[in-house]
Amino acid sequence: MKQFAILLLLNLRLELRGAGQWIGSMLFALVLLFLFALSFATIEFLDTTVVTVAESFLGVFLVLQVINARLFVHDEADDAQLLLLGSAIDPLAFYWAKLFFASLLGSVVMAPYFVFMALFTSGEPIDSYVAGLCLIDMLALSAVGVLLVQVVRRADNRALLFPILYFSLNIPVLLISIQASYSHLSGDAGQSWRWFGLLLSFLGIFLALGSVLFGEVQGLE
Amino acid sequence: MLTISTLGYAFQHQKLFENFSCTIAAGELLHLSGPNGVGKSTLLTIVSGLRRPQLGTVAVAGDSKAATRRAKTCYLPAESYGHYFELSAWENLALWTDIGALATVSAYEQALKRWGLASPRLAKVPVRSFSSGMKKRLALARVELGKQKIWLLDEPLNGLDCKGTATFQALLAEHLSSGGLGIIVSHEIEAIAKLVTMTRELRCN
Repeated sequence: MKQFAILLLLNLRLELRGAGQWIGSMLFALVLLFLFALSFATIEFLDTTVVTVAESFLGVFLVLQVINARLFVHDEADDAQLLLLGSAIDPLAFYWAKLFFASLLGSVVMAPYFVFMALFTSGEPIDSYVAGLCLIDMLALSAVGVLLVQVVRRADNRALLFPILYFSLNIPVLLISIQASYSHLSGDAGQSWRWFGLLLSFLGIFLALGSVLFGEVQGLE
Repeated sequence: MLTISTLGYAFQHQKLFENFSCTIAAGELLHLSGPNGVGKSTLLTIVSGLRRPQLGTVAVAGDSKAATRRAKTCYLPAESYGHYFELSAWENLALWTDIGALATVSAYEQALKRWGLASPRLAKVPVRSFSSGMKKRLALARVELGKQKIWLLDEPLNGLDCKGTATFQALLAEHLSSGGLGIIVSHEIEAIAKLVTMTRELRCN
């Protein structure tokens, strides 16, 4: 727990230290918002709620893909990760710290999106159930993203391999979230909670996989 | 005591070394020599528990578990030092101390002073701005502050100036006289030749 806290703080400190890091994330969020805002102006014939839900989960997916791509930049620049894992740090603490950091950063980037989305939809705040699903997606996508970055890091074609694996594993999570949201928004509580349970199962599987495999894929003896 | 028995390793179906055995007792320093690409650094990573041996075993005081080796050895790679470039020298050492890998905080100043990194103007300078020699000094300060008795040093003298080399000589002598032991890979062995107690050469296969 102590190592987890130290590593999480380290990640936050490194993120805030380089202005380019978080400004890049914020600019990405702004571009996302701008594009989505434009889409509202041109699709008046569609149900705004449907678009809101789809764009929210698409936003989570894209934000985390960008975050994952540079999640280990500081750790790998001078092999700090290798030496930390090779001496004193428990791989599990390292994995969970990265997972929480990615989820936290993703939430920070997505927060303004939800605020603007509320403004575009007649000032109504986003449905708390949908927001909760986004948060669970954030954790699930981070759980699998952090692991995948490490799985493909030594592959020659990792730039291609990561998005393919990331996309394939996360599509079920996104589809379940969208189905759960539609069921909820159409008033089918029973169906929406069944989808919610399935989503939690995926989260559990991804967390278990990451916790077990993160240490293994480091290649340490 | 560090015992290496019949160690062998191949990379991409090409044998790097095989049947490498030796025993290093407290106070002893093994100089590992050989041409580039023969597997000296690979051997150090295996001994440190960062890489699985393909053949043979490595044991620290009779215990061959990798976790034991990782806990009891301090490995300094040749080309990377494990620094976080956005942090200052002090913050880097503080991180290693916080996670329990280094001595107490009070030892910082002394180590930083010894390695010429205690200047107030460096207090907030990120390691990214350091020269390669300063990065090496910081890495050696971390080695100095570590609790491990077994040092595995890959080209520790690269990038050090005369003063740095002298500091390293003194540090290594202190380590060996206090019951520590080590393996060193270096092409500039003259500077520490007096401290070396045995030499082994890895040859190309």
